[in-house]
Amino acid sequence: MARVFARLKLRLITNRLRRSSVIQAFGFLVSWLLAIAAGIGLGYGYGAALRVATNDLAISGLVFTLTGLAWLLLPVIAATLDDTIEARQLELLPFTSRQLAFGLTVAAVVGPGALMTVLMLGIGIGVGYGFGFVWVIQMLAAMAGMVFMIVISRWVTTLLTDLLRSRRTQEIAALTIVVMLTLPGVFGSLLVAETAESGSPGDFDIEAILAAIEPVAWTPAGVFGLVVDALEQGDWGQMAVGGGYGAAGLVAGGLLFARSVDRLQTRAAINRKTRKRRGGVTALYPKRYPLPRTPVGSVAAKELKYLFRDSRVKAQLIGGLVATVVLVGTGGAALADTPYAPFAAAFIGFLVTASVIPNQFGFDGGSFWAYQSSSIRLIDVLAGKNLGWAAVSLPLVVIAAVVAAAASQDASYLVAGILAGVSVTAMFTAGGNLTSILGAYPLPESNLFGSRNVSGTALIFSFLGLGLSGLLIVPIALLIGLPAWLSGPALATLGAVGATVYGVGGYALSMRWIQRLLESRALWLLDTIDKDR
Amino acid sequence: MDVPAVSYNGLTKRFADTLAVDDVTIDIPLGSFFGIVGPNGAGKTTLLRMTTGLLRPDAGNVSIAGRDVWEDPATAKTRFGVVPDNPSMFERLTGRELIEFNGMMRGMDAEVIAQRRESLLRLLDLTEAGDTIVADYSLGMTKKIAIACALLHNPSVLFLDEPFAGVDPVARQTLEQILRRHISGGGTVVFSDHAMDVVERLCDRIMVIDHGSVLATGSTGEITGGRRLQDVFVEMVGAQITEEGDLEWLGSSPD
Repeated sequence: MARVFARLKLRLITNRLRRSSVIQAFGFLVSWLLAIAAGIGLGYGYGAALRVATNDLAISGLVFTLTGLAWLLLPVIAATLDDTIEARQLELLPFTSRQLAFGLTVAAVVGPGALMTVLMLGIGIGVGYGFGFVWVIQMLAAMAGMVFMIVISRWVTTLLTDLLRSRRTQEIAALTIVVMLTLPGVFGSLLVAETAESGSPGDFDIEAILAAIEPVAWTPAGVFGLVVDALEQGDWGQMAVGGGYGAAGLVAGGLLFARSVDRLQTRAAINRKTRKRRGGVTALYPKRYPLPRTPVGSVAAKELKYLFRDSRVKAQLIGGLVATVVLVGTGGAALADTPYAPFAAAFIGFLVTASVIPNQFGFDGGSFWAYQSSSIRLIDVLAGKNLGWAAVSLPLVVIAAVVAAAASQDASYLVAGILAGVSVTAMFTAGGNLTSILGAYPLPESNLFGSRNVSGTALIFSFLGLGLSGLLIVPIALLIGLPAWLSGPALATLGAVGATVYGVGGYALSMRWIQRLLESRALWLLDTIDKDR
Repeated sequence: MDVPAVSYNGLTKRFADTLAVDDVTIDIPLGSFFGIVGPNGAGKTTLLRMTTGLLRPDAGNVSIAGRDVWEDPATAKTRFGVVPDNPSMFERLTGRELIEFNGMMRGMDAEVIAQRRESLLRLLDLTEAGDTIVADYSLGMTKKIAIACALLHNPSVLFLDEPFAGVDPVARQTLEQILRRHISGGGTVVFSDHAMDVVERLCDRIMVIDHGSVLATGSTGEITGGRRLQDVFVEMVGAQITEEGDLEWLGSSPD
């Protein structure tokens, strides 16, 4: 059985390679090489830390816990990295849910993630403690730990697949993940604010920190690091307790995984019915936005509707709002009367725009044909999408600038801040439009966390487009930042006016050029975005 | 002389080594109910995609009511409506919003859209479901709303790719009525389907296509010659006959 699943996974990988273009094959090769390089590099880091630090338990506990977290989060936020076999693909085969859970775990072991983990733990433990007989025993414990991490990772992804079949739970999952991803930023901001107040940045006591984090060795994943440490110390008591805890965790994880496989295969997803409006009928145009009754306006209206109905877009926007509140709230005081103040709103403009703009057509997925077969010009579709997002991001820019001014009790940079936000939004939209056309990849509404159809070319263009967008906003930073540093708010405001002319003018110019580009790329976009047709 | 509803002239499309559509030259008269039949992979969908501006032909051209689809796409697209097989719609809009969106995209007047939308929804038995988002629609309802979107701007030609696949008999009856009404108003319907009885019953003209080539085209009577279309079709495309001894194991006890 294990052999069947391992061979199936290997076959998927080789078939993928056979069907790949040169760029895709190169990307695939790079991902494996990166996994090997990262495994070796992290392994040496882990080993060196074990040699240098006096608290091995905290080091191993932390490494195993973080590795477990990476296994938990990566498949969710980077679903395209591996050829994962899903339980639903095998639901008609005569396997019990436990057999299937076992087979899927075996399949997950064949991949760059597992290779990286094996290298990291093997090299780390070897460099830290030596490659003797004990290393072999320690590696057995470490591999049991890796299997536990894979089982938990597959359990969570299977559970999410089950949950994501219903729209309501899609929203809950999306928001939960956004909050999870925002948390490091929240803690980082609080740490920065705290450090700014205490005035002692960089004053760390490593050993005290290690002692403080030692309890992580008792997390379900960290406990395998605890066993590795106990084997080195010859602490039989700790080994027995840790080993028992780890084994219990592995069995419990396996049972949970098997249960979620069973639920996914045998339970139907139930969608809550759409809430109907009382009195009257639903209308495309939102009441509070005075959008033009034109083809451009209709696309903007559709984008705004999606803002509240598409779980992913909603989650991205709420993520942006949370980031706004956290960053402006915690950083506002520190920015008081500094030349950095105008950039708070610009950052929010960038954050909200960057969440959707670089792949606007890709978000339409299979529905893109509707534009292509109607008489609307694609440039009008793009302008409508831009208008819809500007209607969201620009009010947020103004709010961010006002909140920053209120938090810092200094309104001297208010106008410069708003103009900085407007110019960054405009220029980043121009760069994002270009990326949307050259590096589009399908991300349809029914697919919450990713698509398997991302071509290597699209990824390269996406990165190039984002880089170009970054370069395009450099002059804005210079136009506002330099006068702010050299003179103060008055000159910065003048610079911001120039930046706005640059940003908005750049956007207008880019649209003229993009119109010609769209004419030649329309069918490529259709083929790329609408893969099923 | 009347301009044909659709005119193909040497339309050709090749995918790598496969000739998907091979030099199709044919006129579809105005007001006809035209059926395209062929086995899986015959080139029906490729032909319809090239006709509706979704796939560029390698050679030849296609005109809708006198306008070349690839030379003057903006005008040509005002003259037809299209419902692809398994249509993917903007599923987070309600039925009403989706129809309004389609009308506004085409630059139609808001009042005209509202008037036609309600009449289409009523006709398609979707008045109640009009405020439900399309993601909650069944396949039949999705096809009906797609047809409503395609009919909204009153196109002279309606292209449908397997419109009856997966649709229940009641919805099928409604769709048939709507298509007949479109024809009686002077419109033209071009559709592909595998259900030979439906094609035979609805269409006044038929084209049989296989391996990208047109095997036969003409009025339904000319094509069938008084026989069942199913039999004529199987004869034309060549049936795979199971020989004695094949699949002997099928139906015996599992190992």
